[in-house]
Amino acid sequence: MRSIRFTRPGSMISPLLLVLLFALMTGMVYSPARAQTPNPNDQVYSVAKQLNCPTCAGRNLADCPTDTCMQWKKEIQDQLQQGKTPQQVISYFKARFGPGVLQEPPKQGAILILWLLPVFGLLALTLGAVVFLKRVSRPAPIRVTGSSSIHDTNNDSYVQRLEDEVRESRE
Amino acid sequence: MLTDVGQIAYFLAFVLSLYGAGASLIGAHRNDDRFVQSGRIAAMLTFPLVFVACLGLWYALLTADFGVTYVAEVSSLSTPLLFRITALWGSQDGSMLFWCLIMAAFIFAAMLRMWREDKSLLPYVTASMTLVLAFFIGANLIAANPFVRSAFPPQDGRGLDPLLRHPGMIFHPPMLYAGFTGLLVPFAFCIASLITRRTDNLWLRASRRWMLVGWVFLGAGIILGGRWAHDVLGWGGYWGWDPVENGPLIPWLIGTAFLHSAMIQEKRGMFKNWNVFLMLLTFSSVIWGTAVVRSGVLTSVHAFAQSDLGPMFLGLIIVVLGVSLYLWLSRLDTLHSENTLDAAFSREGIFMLQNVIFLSTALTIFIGTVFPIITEAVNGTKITVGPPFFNEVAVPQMVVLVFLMGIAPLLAWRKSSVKAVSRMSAIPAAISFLVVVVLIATGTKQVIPLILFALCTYTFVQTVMEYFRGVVARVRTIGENVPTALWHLVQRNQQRYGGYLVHLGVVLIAIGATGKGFYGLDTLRNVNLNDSFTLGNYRFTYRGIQMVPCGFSDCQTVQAAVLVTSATDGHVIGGVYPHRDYYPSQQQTSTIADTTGSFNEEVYVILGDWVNDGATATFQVYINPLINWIWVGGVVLILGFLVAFWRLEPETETRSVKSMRVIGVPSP
Repeated sequence: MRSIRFTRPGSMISPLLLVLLFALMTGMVYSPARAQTPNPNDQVYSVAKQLNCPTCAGRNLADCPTDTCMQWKKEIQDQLQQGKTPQQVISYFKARFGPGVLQEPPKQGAILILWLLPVFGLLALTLGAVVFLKRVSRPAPIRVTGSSSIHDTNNDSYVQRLEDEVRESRE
Repeated sequence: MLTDVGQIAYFLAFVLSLYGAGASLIGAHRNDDRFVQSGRIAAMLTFPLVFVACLGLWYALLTADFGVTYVAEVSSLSTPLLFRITALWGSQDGSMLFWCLIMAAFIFAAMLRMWREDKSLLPYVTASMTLVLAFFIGANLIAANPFVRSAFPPQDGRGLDPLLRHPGMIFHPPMLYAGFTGLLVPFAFCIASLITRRTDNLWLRASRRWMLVGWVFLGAGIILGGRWAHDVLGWGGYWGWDPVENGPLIPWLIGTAFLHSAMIQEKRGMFKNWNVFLMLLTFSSVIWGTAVVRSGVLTSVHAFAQSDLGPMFLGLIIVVLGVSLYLWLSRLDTLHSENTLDAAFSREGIFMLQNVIFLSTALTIFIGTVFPIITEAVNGTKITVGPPFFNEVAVPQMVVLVFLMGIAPLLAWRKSSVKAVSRMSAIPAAISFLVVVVLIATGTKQVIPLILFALCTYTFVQTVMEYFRGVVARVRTIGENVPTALWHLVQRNQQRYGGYLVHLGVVLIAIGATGKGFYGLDTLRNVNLNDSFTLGNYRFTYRGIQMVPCGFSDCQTVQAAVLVTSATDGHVIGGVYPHRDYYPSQQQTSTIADTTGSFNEEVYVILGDWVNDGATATFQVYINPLINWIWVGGVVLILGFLVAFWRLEPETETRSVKSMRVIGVPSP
């Protein structure tokens, strides 16, 4: 058995890279938060969407029907009526309750690590996989692989493969 | 009295599980089958014993024995029968007991299997499983004992948490627990094969079906949990990236990666060490997920209790990870590949890529879930990692997986040509192009959902064509009619075609998530009586509010009536009656939505608040396009599992008998 193809590493890496690039691009463009239709008549609601509910962890303030949340929404409404901008209201809540009150952790300071870690994770895993694939592509210690049920099909035709299987089933 | 019997039985189960582990290990060490069999029987006996323990607690619940603290916490005199039964898993202490019951049931079933050529694995499988069971029973007895009695029994109990009084709570927890505990079996096989250095395909064959069972229970539990959240939590959504939701999702993702890469080992004898690693990682994440669900270490809407279980679970995670890593690293030399990789553009190559993305997705979700704990530990500030992080970082990776799901079946083992794959992609690509054109023509403008719908269509059509090609090949070569050909095609390779059905289910879920995520509308409005407001194509008219009899005797219900009509031509779509139930004994309110609309577009209305006896009321309205596709996708996913798992072959065939023996299902 000869290790084919890996004399030209480029042939292996390019499809991987292509898909990765695609993944990254999707990641950059994709942002459902942006796609949410805002309620132009309801600034309170759009501010509440960016804050966390104090009682039901993880959910945003707008989606939470508890009494505490109702009070918070009232607070937002009052501040907006006093002429504060939505951004000022959010800053007020952030100053009072800490950054934990924000739905989306800010992409700055120590919290930037949160956003970068998954990217490093993906890169590390990909690197690991490439190294692993290269190692696997080296000829393994020769042993008889009688158990392998794969036919050495040279042609790539899907129908051919199926027909092989059908034939097998009739034996 | 019977309750005390239950506690004694539970303690006996603890002792027996320790004995089972000890006897098995001694038996293995001395090569004495009597000890091994004794350990096996002890392991099997834990199941009836834990069952008796459950009966004891059920007895206390049914007889309203409020002397037992747990019973007083989760039930009251007015709790109906059904919820007295489900109250067994209504709170921390009891749910751990129920958890152990399911785990013991899996151990029982695994011990019952045939054990022939893999008999050398038996003592270590027994020991691994009983040790984990002993941990859970021990932790339950020490830190969260549901049998504890109070010196001064209250007159009446507090009643079950209102949020848990939902049919979803009957099935969701048992499913999830079965998912978590079911994964113990394949893990035990993996550990046993590492210890005995029998690292060929033996453990893989023995444990793959168990893995599949745990995996489908976990998946069904996750989907049911989403449905429960949608119906009960009054927020219009189904998934909030809550730590308790992420807990089961992570092992499910890693398990999915394993189920795929196990195929490579079976077909090609490759990726052996990788598969072992994935299996060990799956179970480690199960323990982590369990800790998240059960210890309340991460406060969330689901984590109903906090206790000192946290440190115990941390200890277990360290032990499981440590033992796993040690065994894996020390046995790496025995995990050779039997074959070499011929080309990266092959089924093996794309499976590897898919594995990388599955793991990376799981890692992303893990990071997002634990990050708040880390920041709190490091500098004291508690931040919240909400849905935006997961949507922006984890979801794109899942999108790539949907695409890979479409293209991977086209790639042949060993090597494949880009040309052949493109040729076979022509029809699905053309159809998804057509779908995009139609969507643009009907007014869809956003680019991202268009891309997502195109990807989903591509994968869906491609998967359906897998069946189509197979049927055509059979019709052509054998001359069968179409239904027979389809039946035989699936029968001939249940694993593959069941898997494709699972893929179709996942695509349906992806379509539903895209619809809800991008085209969902919601608003919060104050309206006066008989006034109306408009959202999307719907007009909502507030028609009144009144007290109505509550579904349970311990609550008060206020129900509003809202008429939903079409905003364009005014025809009536339906009436909705959202209500708020107030539970005085728990001082808790649950907000129950009501829905109308069509299959493709759900209209979800919540009663927020009201003033002046209902002269003005606040409503929160969600329009959820395609959300029902998610539930349908879930059902298709389970059907796919059944096709892959259920043996359709006639029992008389020698091939079938042989394979039954290999897999170790007891013959009838």
